[in-house]
Amino acid sequence: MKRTLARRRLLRAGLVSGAGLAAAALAGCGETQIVEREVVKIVTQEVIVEKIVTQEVIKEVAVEKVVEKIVEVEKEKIVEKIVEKIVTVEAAQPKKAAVALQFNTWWGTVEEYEAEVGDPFTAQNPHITIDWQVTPWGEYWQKMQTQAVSNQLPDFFGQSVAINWDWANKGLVFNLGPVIKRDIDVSKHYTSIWQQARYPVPGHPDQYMMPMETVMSLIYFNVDLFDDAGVDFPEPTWTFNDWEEAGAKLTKTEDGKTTQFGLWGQNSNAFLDAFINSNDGLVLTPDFKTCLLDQPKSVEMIDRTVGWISQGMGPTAAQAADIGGGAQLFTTGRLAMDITGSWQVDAYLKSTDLNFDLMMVPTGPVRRVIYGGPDSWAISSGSTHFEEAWEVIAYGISEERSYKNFPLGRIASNIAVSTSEDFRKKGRVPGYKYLFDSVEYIKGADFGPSWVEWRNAFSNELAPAFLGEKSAQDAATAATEKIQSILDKVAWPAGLE
Amino acid sequence: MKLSDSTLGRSLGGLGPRRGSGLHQWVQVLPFLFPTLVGMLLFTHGAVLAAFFISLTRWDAFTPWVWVGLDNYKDLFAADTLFTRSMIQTAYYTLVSVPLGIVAALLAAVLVNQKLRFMTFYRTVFFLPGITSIVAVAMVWLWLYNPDFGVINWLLGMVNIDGPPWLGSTKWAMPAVIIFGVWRGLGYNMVILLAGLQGIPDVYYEAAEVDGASKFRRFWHITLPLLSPTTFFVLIISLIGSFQVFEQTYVLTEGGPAYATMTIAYYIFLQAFQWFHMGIASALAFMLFLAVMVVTVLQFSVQRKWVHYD
Repeated sequence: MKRTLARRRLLRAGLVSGAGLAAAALAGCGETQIVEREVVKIVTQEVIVEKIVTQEVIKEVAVEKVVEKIVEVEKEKIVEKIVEKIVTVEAAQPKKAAVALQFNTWWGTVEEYEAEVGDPFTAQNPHITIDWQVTPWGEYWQKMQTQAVSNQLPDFFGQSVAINWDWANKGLVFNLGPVIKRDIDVSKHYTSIWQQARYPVPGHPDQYMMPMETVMSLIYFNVDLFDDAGVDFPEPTWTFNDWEEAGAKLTKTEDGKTTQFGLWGQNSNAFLDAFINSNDGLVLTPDFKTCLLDQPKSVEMIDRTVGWISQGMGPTAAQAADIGGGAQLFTTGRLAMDITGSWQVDAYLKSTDLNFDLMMVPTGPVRRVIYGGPDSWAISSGSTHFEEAWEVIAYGISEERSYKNFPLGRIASNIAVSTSEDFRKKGRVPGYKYLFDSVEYIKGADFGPSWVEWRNAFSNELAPAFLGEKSAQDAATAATEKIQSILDKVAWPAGLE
Repeated sequence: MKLSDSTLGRSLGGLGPRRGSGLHQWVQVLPFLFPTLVGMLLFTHGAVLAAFFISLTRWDAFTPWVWVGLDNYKDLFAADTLFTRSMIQTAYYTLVSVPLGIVAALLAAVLVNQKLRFMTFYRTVFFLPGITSIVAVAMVWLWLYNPDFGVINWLLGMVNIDGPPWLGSTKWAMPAVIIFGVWRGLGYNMVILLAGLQGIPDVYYEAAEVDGASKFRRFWHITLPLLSPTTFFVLIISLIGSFQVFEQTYVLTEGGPAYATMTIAYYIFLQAFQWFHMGIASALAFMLFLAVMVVTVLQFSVQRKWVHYD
């Protein structure tokens, strides 16, 4: 294509030159002696292919102007002119060595990654090819851990915010902080969410994974159950008092047993941590070193959540136990409202009998806090293609990346992509827009050292409170003791012990 | 094991040495045993030794190990409350599930040992739980155990019993896991016991019948004693299996609620593959090995009193 164009332009240039010579010949036949001189300067420039096209267009105009000038010159009998012609010659670029990158993650499909990221990226960077792999969540970490132990991790991969700290601490992933500073215009991104990717504490410039998209918690409400009960739909102005009031109205009992639950707030990081934070309570201190779960402001919110279950408004863990961790209670119309992660949007939209909508998480006693956490990509410290892997990641968070590749219920890291009309339309329910309104209230669940381990203690030690076997205070005290014993064993980086 | 000339002669297709010293015989045999020996030494005994070494270190599988001597073992007893708790819960699971499982399997074996039509079909039905994907059946059991909408509590409600919250209760979660475990292991144990039952000669029953023994007495005095070697085998494998119970807790409860179903094998899994405390996990594994060994040795020492090989 480029060669054909170049030839055509050269022909045109030749024709113009020919026209000039013809004009000179005609002038020579007349009485007036015309001196004609044509100087063709050939300048050789080494430019990349894209630049060549632009330059040639400009030249074409210049050549046409020359033709006009020739006519004028004939009238004035001034023939001497200089036609400067720049002929750009495609210089042989230093050929980059072919690089084959390996990638693995747990979300999306290989076809999507190939079509929406791989193909457009490789078109721009022909020397880089990517072997995309997607492993289901259930097996993903087992596979990654095995590969990590044998130093065979893929070049770059999907990283969970829950283990980012520990992997960074063990030196399994590269620090992206310097290249982010070098290459990324951070003003184009939801960087408040990136704080969860920082290591060893939020605010530190080191960052060992790049958030690609973010999930967050929302209220899911069953429109039909609200209509049946004559309860107004949730509003952005709702507080948790409104949530409880509506929950009570939506709860139905029969023979002393709850047949329809009004609401559900789970003993999980998708709800409880942010609920505690909304009362100015803390699970851990911001430096991740001290557990404050037994403090009054934290206990108050645990107690309030337990109360929903003891009053019959919310299901116990056993009542909600099923494949989707309670999702079926909602899809089968036995639960009117649930606060859980935006990852459920996709599953609920596939449930054709379910008429649901979304709303922002209510404001707490002190402020509004919404759980959210990024799904990220990281580069293995064993990779010998750091720059190439980083190029793909940088492309992945750029506005060039198609919105299609982002699963439902996720906000893209890039603001321009997230705010595009196409991206926003994906949700198909009116309340999908609240994902975007929620971003400014997002806080993670203290994703720091030994998160998986202390989270296990958190769930198990608080469980007796949710089962009515212990008071919230006693359970929180036991949980704090256990969590603190885990945090005390953390091997902090030098200088931060 | 001593190898005789005749044994070697047979095993080597009659080409073995006709005479020679024991050493000479071993030299001839070793090349044939070599591949198996290497595999066993490397991947069985080598792995056990490596695990013991790891139990004396602090190691996360990613960074270099640190020698800590017996600290991991000391910590298990001094500081780790979950270790004691998981051992007690494993003992609870074993003490209930093993006798229950053997009795249920024996009953099933006796039932399918009848000469009735479609007996092969019935045997297959009993064996199915053992070969079905545990994750798939666990999903079904999660529904069965649902306190409000589950079939089990619905059936209990039919006889005016208010069913418990099963997996959602610290008191009932372990019984729920045990029931699931017994159901799953029933078919396998049944097949072994069925083979044992079919190996008992009919003449004993015929003689007892001639003597006027009732069905119960024939079962008690003939079947049980003559089945005792098979029962002993089932007991040993059930004991070892129950000490290592993992899948049931993994798919049904993840050790919860409130650690109520935290068994030692599940705790090892958490320590090793979730929290990457390889040293502690290896120490736990050796404690489990010790427990299994002690119980197995005890069983072998008392088996003379109730196992009849003649």
